[in-house]
Amino acid sequence: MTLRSALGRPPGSRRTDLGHARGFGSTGRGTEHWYWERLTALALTPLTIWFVVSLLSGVGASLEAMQAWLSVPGNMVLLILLNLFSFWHAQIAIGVVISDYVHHEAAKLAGLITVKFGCIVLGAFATVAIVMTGLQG
Amino acid sequence: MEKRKRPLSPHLSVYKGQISSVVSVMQRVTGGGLAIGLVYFVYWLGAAAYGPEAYARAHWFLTSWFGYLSLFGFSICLYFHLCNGIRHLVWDIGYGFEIEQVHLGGIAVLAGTAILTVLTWMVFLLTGGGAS
Repeated sequence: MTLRSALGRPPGSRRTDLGHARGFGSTGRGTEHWYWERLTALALTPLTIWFVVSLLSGVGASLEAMQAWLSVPGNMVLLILLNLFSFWHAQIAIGVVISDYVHHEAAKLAGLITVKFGCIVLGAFATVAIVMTGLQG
Repeated sequence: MEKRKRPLSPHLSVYKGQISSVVSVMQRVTGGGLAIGLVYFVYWLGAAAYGPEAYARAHWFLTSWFGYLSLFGFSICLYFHLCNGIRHLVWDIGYGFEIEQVHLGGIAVLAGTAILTVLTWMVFLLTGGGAS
């Protein structure tokens, strides 16, 4: 939510109501989140397929197998990207759901902030975990 | 200023479920399922980083009946969300808005989900299971 959208059209503004409203939305962020949700979806399509195929080939069968898998730089990078894009995508999408269904302003804001921080914390933790596991392989 | 009570729309409960609306709702439901899946994902990676004991515990949990049931659920969520996500991307570039195409796309998503889920778990069982 931007301050501008919360305040509405500034008094004395020469912009039309439509001109002012254009680009905003229920989240006050215009098309930005919509665009990033699609972009991350595009990246996640091949990444998730790669991940499922990797799991099926037994990369998680043992700790040793997992360390060996992640010690390959390409695998480590792809898993980090899968992790980051997933949380980026989830953070936007859950935010949209909250914006749609939570109508109490304070609860909405609290929910959005919790989800964003939660995704950042989990995403950062997983990234460190991937690197540490790979370095032991 | 007192808020006037105007009639609200839409009342979802008065609509009969249709493939278009059901698949649309399912996109959000499966997305929620995948968010829970992400927590499993982080737990699994964290366990690997914490060492053999933690990994053994995570492995035990993920290969328990509850773990497999969860993973099976996540696989359905993933394939549905993936297939329908691609359908959404096709809409976003401006194709497939005719009603027959919308219905056909919805059926394709359901069929794709079923086929990919069965295929994945068949491979899993036939190869002796990669575990987690």
